[in-house]
Amino acid sequence: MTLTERSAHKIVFESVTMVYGLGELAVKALDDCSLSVGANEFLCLLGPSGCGKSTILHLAAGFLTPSTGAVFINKRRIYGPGTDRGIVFQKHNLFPWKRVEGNIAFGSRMQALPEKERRSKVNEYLDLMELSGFERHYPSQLSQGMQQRVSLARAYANEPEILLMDEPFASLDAQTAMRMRELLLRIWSERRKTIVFVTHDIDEAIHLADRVLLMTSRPGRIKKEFLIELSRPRSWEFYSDSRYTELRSAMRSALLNE
Amino acid sequence: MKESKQKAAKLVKTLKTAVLAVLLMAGISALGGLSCAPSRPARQSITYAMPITLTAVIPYVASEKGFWKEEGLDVKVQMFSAGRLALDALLSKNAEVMSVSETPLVHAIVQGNKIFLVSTVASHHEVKFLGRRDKHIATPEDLRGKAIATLPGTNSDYFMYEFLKKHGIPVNAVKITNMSPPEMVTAFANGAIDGYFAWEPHIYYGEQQLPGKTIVFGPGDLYHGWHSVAMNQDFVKAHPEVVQKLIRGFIKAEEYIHQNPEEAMTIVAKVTGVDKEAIRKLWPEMKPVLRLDKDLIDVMNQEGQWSLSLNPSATTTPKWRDFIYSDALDAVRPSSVNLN
Amino acid sequence: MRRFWHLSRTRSRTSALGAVAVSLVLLLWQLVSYWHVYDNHLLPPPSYIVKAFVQMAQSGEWFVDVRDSLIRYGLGLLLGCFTGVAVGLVTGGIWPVRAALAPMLDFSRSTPMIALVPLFIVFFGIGLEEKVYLVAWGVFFPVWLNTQAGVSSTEREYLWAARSLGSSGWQLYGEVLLPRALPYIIVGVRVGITTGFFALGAAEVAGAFSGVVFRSYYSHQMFRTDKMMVAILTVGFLGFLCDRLYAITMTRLVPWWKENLDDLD
Repeated sequence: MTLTERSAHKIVFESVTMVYGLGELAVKALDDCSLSVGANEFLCLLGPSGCGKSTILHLAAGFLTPSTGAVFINKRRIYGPGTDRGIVFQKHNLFPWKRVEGNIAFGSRMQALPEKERRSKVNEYLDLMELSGFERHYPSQLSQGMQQRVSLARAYANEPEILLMDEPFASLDAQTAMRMRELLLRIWSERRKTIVFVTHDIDEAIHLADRVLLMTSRPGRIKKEFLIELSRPRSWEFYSDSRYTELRSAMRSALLNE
Repeated sequence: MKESKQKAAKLVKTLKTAVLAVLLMAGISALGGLSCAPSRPARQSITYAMPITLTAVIPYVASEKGFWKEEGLDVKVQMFSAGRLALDALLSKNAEVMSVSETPLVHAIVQGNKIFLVSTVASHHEVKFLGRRDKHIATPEDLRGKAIATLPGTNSDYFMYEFLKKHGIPVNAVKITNMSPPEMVTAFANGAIDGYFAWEPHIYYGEQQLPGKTIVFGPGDLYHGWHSVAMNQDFVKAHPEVVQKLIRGFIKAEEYIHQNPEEAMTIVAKVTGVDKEAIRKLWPEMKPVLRLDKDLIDVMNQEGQWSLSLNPSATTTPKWRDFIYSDALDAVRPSSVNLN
Repeated sequence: MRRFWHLSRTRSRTSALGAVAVSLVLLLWQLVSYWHVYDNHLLPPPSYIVKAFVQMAQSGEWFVDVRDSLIRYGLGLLLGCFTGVAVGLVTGGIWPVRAALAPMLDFSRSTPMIALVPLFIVFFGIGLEEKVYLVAWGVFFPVWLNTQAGVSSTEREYLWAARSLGSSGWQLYGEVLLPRALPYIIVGVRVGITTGFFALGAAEVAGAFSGVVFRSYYSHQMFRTDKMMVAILTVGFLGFLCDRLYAITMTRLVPWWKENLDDLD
């Protein structure tokens, strides 16, 4: 994907600046940021904490409104959240007062789909996320990895064009996080979506992304772009690939120079 | 492990609380025992539980003018908003003497409390009914079906029963509700009740709220009250000289009031917080005189019947004379004792 | 002794310990009156109180008192909970409303209920309404404050997720804010159950001629301390009963908020 293919771009940021607070307390979280994400592209935003990568995600989701500049989805300027963009957070994702099935069916209930359709949808995504048998559980009864699978199922079940993920695997142990990445990639390869994925983990970014935007902090700016042209599906062996090691050290030095 | 520690901590906490409660109770009991122990120094010091009422002129003046001090008696005055609470202070031995209208004393005696009335210090006609003319109350018969407030157990409550009986109105033909006098004035003014039985200055206050729209039914011959001084029997028996000193102080106050009514009114105004004009207007309804009269026994007897009818209990009607201690007044001013 | 501390806490052991403690206090009480530490007329022993209770139950007086008090209390509790939750949802969700109302509500909530009786008489007379409103007043504040805390502490992620999934406006209240605040509301109502009884005490001071708290005042006036104690213990018992019933109901009704509900037991 290159910047010239504008028409195919799902998400476009035009000179977006985001300032939190007022007066002396004002903090510039994002400074004159322009970017675009292509249809069905898997984009990772990589950077240290406080670099504004989550701000970009929240702006794309429509939770925040830019101080200056504009955000476009499918060439239309957005002013708020929409069902075309699903979201997965690191924590406080699932509604603890709803069972697994209730969480997954939330979107279709908001769309007032008939009960039958809702049921089949819930079952479909329970299967897809390997959660069958847990539909009657409350989130607090599940492991964190399972909880994130339910979150993913809930977002997917609403069939958005874009999936925005805010460090979704950051609080999982390494093994579980790895399995979750593989699950995500497998599902994404079957049901393509535009994904913007925020992470501070270089390995995670290279493993998942088509393209990585590396960010600097205070104020948040996009520093560098890396295209990850490693073949998919990417499995264990790919960590020993020399292109992987090169990318890794390049990103690393870029992050350290910051 | 951590969890079981927490549980243990919780248990310890519960037990500590329990132990503390037991210790506290034991402590209170011990204190109760101590206060019973009679150990008095040469100069007598006692506590007087005093209610706020216009009829307590003599006690107020005796205290303010230091008449008891002159008799070698230190009297610590403890004010109470209601006579009933002052009586609790006496019965629980937190006070050695108190005074109140005879009615609460009658209930206390009926229920078996061992007290003495050592003198009365005022007779009064301050218990009345106040009604609203605009609610069509013009004659006693009009009380039928009306919403009437009373404070149960008081002399005005007794007056209400007598009043209704005299006019042939069954108690359940009136909508009776309980209230303390200050609230009666509020409820009366806003129309929640049509009238109320109470004592002064609350009748006066009610009249002030609705000038010209009210009607008063006074007690007439139906009832007159005795502001009475009460003490515990065991204390009186152990310290008859204290009772005499008290009475001498009262008599000095009685004389003072007779000589200086203006000053006495000022004292009452100061202690009760009622404005002096109201006191001046109500002054004639009170007779501040020390007496032990046969009429007191008659009043007590009638109120005793009433009290027993409201609260049937195993006790039989007490012998009222046994609860009146006349020796002290008899020794100081025999002319004031007419019990036979 | 060590073994005693390490007894694991079970429901039956908890109740058993409670029962043992209550019996001990009653025994001690009976002994205290046996030794005449206090005059039996001032603090009647349990045996007198039982006798008075039997008397009051036989004459039906006790049942009328309990019924009348429960009507006042129950209606007031419902009204207080309902308005408390409603106001809490609004003030918790919309900060300008919270800012505008906070001083007024904070000011009135520390006013002793008994001091409000004359005011309530002025506004509502002395009928059932006035008593119901007084109880509701007592219940309202803890329910309101807890509901507000629950709503205003709602994690933004829940609201964002719900909006991304297509809910808006009132749906956010029903789907997110209310259920999120529910554990807080449950605790608030539990406090309200207690403060409601305080308010009932104020309500029956004036303008009643029945009711458990009225009976306590009345018996005190009439020197029937045995009946007064029956009335006081009845209020305590009703409070205990309401609290228990509530705790049991809530554990059944809201199974998803396990941690918080354990405290309700």
